Amino acid sequence: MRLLIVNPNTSEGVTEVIAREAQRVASPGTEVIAATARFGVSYIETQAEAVVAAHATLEALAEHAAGCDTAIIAAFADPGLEAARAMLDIPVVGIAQAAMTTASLLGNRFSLVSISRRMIPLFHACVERNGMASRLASMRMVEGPVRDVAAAGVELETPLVDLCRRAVDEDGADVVILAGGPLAGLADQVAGRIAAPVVDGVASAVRLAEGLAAGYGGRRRVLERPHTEKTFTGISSALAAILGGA
Amino acid sequence: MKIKIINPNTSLEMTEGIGAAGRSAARIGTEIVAVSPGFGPASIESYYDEFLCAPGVIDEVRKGDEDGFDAYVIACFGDPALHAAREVTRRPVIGIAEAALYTASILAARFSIVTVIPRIKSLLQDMVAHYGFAHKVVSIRTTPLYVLDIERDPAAALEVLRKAARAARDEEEAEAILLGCAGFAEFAQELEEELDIPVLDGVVCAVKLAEGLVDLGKTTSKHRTYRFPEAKAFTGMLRTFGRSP
Repeated sequence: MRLLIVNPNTSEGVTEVIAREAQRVASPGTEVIAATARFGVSYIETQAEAVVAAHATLEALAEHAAGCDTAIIAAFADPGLEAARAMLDIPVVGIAQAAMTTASLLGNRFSLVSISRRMIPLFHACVERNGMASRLASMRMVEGPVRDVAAAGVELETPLVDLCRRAVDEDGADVVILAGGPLAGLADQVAGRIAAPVVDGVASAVRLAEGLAAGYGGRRRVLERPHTEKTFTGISSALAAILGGA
Repeated sequence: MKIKIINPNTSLEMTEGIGAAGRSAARIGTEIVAVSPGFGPASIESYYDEFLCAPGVIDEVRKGDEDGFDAYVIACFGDPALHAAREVTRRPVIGIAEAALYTASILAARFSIVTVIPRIKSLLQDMVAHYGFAHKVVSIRTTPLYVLDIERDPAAALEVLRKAARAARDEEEAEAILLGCAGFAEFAQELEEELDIPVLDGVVCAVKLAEGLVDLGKTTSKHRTYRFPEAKAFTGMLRTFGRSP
């Protein structure tokens, strides 16, 4: 099985972190193909950045999805997820939706822990879109600047673990999600230090994507072709072709 | 990996069908055991049935832990006793309704549930809202079918189901169909081929989710909500469900 994982951030270092975790949890027969957004922002914090990243994500999917059995969008706001699903006939899984699904199976309430307060409105919108608002116990974010986003999981490990503990002890969380592509792989590393399950979006998405690609996932309805040929300007020819351009 | 699928009703023929559906989805190396409780209702089609099937479900989970199962699936589309089952074991417990809803929300923007008799519609509406999918479920189509009609005359049941699913697709723009009864599992593939949209049986969805959670090494959070029940005495018919304080 070929699994495409797209990093909607432009940081190659983050792509490596994501790909390493995806590869670690993937089944033996799964080939992981990682792609990085060609334009946009090094890591997404705001709605505006997520919109830009959504376009970059669609471009990456258009370029790399041929021949893949399933695709993952590996930024916590799931930028471009619904659009990607309408565009491709393979199952597309977002790491936020995957993490919240896993968390909901393990506990009744979850908290989101991540690296920047600026992400809070974006995360709230994502939680609401997924119908999970009533399951959210809290969001806790590390204060202060992020120096090297690809190393955030290492450099901010201590404050992140502290926030996970506070979510569990003070906010009523049954489960904690370490939210964001840059934190991929951290959940299992710190799990022993936190009294509740810690969930990773990338790992969750890989399991869901493999399950969907193996079980079903065909026969998805994709975009109807436009009635007349449309003109697309300034986007890649690969994306334009999928969207119905000349 | 060993997954125990609990059919909360006591109709053994249905349990066999559910086991077959589970095995059709399981990977090589996953052992599926499907069981019914030794006591409880023959089918579940009301609050009353849902309530009274719960002790039997809990009993099967407790026995399952003694037998070393890695995960449990509760195979009734109302997810009866789900939260209580999570309280009595560390192993993951998945309801087929939640599994179908989570899976559908990855495959389709909007979907419909086709199910049995009309009285269960409001139960399902409340459940869908509880899981946070009210905005994605475009319809819950009930049929005149009682649960036990399915095994009595599968061909007739499929005909009724086909009509409801087709109407959901064509009239409500459903992009996927959720089969709202574990007894419908055997029809999923045929309906999917015919309707050309995903037709999801919750048993299959739950087995894939269970395999995924076990692969990830994740177990139910025992930190707060799903802690083991407080030790206390139960009396009368339920005396075996108590635990010495």
